[in-house]
Amino acid sequence: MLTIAVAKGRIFEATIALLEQAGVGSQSLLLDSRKLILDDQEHQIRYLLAKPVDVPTYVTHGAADLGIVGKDVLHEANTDIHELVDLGFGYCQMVVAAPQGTVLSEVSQVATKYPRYARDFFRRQGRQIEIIDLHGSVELAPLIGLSDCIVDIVETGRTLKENGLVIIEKLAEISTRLVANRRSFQLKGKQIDDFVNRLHDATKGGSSH
Amino acid sequence: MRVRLDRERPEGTNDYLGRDLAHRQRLRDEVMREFSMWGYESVETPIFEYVDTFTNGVHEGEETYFFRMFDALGRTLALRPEMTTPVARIVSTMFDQYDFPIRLAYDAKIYRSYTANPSDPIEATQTGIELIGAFAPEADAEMITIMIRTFKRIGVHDFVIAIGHMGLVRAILSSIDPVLAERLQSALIDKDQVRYLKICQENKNSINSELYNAIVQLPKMRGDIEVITSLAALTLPEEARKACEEMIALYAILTDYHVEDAIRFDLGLYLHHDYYTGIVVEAYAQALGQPIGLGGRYDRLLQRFGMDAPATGFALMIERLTEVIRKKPEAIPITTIHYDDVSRHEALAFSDWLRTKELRIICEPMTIDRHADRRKNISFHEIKHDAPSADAVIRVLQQHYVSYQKEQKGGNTSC
Repeated sequence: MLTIAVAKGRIFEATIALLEQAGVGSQSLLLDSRKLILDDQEHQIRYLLAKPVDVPTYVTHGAADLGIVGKDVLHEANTDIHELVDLGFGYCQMVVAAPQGTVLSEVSQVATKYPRYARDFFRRQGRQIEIIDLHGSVELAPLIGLSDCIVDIVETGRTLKENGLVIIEKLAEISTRLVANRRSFQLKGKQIDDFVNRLHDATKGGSSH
Repeated sequence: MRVRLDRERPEGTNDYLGRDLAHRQRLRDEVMREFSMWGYESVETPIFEYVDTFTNGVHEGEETYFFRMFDALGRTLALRPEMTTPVARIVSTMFDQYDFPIRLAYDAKIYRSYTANPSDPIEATQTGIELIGAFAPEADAEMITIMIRTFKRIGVHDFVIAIGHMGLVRAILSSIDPVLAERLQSALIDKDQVRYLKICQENKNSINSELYNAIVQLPKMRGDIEVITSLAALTLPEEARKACEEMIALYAILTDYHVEDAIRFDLGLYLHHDYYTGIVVEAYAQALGQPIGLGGRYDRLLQRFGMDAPATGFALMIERLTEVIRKKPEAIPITTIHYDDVSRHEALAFSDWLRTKELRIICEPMTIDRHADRRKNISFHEIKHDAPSADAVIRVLQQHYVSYQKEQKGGNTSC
């Protein structure tokens, strides 16, 4: 039996659709419940439905063998686990955005939910700038003068536009990843390889049709 | 408000007492005992070394996590972050090649001032061995088998040893541009297969087409010995072919040790330290998400200390093993015997005698208040009293007292 931590939120429905398509999960079971632990007897898989930021934690400690979570969350967690497959959905971009006319070399404060991305990016520019940690509605910060710019993920760009912000730099492409615990990767190697292959086939099938 | 630190211990450290300490101690003793059975001699080194020793050793460019201090002459010292380097220093200065192979074991605390994960300990215990002056694959097979036997001895069930080969991976990647090879190695170290695959695909044209598939598949090549034999069937660089042969020979020896069921080959296993040159291992137990042991071959480290010698070794993480093995040893009971002014002389002498019989005895005056104590408190008068007691411990002590008296009399007559 494999235990898989699945991130609720932005990528949840697409995740479930992929699991169903790969023949390793049941859409009806996963969508119709408010439970946090779900046992899929048919596929011999236990699902943990978790907040995205907690998925890397569950996997690192081995509470879950596998995890399905966005690269944005994974990179911030900076944890020692196996990153196995790019599942090919939940695409978005990590960007620096600011009010029109802002010059990147002149910003001195950045508001973000992603301090690691922000710090690494500005360090590569040779700058150590002040990072203001926020947990939501980051777009607010430059509007009220809390920061000069933000580092955040952008899917359609609509939220930025509505708040008068423009992308001034693209930092990274984000998509959904399958990750594995180090112990499970070795002790449940065969089961994990099978699971990976099925997801792999399903993602390929999805993109070619 | 200022936080009082005088009653706290530094973050990332631990206190051990009672059964937890006994548990740790038992594991450390059992592990060292297994090492000793294989002819390994214990070494103990200072808790710190000159920082130069570590930077010359396995920690080139990794000084950021040293705990540093200065000696009276202003020279920089560092608390040891691992034991392989101190052992290499000892071997290169206190032994010579006539002593080869040298088998040494250690049981030591190690220190890191900074860890990637804040919850990781800054002080940890590593118990391990180094086998110096012996060549692969016999020496590597001995290492791996000792690891397995140690786990069996201390009661780790459901574990696996993943075996990789740094030399093999480097040799396969030596056929491509060094900058590209380094990027791929870095992706392997980070266990990031997504990035690894992406780098391969983006640089398909600059990778030798005969080896392209092997390189792309490298992180996925894991399982039993067929993984190695099928890789060996390809046209490989000379060094890679030799490394495959070494792995196949290793497997044959492990089969002779009857431990082949506990191992799995994993060519994606690529450890962070570049001092590893050959076979590397990581041990995992079902009960814990993190490795419980790791090690490998480091044939070039001794050279840096002026002695050219092949070497291999591994370390087990004791704190993690205590989490894997939940069963703690039973506490050995302590009995307190109370005396008064009249009985003191005899009670002290009798207590001394009991300790020679391996009983844990506290002997102290009746006036010490022990009502809140969980220990067994017995008045010496109750032991000396002729009437049989309802209490089992008192009955045992009464019997001991009879033998004690007999011995005293016998001793007196013989004088």
